[in-house]
Amino acid sequence: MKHLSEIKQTVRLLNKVGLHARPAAMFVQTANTFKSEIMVEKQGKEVDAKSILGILSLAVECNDEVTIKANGEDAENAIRKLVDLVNSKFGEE
Amino acid sequence: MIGIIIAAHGEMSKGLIETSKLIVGHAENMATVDLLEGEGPESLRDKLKKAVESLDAGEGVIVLLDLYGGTPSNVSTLLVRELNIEVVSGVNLPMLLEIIVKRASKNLKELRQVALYAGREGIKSINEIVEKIESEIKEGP
Repeated sequence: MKHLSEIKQTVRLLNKVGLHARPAAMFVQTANTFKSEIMVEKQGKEVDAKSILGILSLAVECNDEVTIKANGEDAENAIRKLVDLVNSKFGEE
Repeated sequence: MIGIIIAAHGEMSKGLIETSKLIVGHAENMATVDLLEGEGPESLRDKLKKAVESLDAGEGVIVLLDLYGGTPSNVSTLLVRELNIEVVSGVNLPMLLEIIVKRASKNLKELRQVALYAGREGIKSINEIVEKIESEIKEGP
């Protein structure tokens, strides 16, 4: 069922090497724990947050801004967890 | 949880699994079935069947093959009606990673589509991409 409200938040990626395979996988694994439909947008290109291929294809670099959008019953929690993960720099520098 | 088996020639599956661990960490319910040098189809069939039976917790097992038409592929063909398996050839790292992260939220049939899509989408010509970007820059906005 589509929920009416989409929640979104824009974050800046801060880890030096950008969203390479390992942090992309962490992001996708976290997204996959939620029921909501989750998308990530960078400069008009939108991909499935639950797909490693999708996230990697965005080629997010350090200091790039991305918008995380979630739609569904656990959307709020999903956004919070994903934003926290980005802000934590995925445990990297 | 849906099981994952990589059935391939030599030690390819071990390499894929070790590499996947670097990226997505250790994954449960995953096994390899290797066709060793000099090994025949009967022996491989037994190994594959045993592996499927030990991994199938009721939701089935996805079997990823290295080479369509090879022995692991021929042996799997004989087992698709006997066991609850989906068999996809042409395993690559994108296919494996995508299956690992998506299997908890998909059923076996859906996971087959994930495998086919990720395997194909993971193959790109980097030169083509660079050429496209260069021509876009040249043309301007």
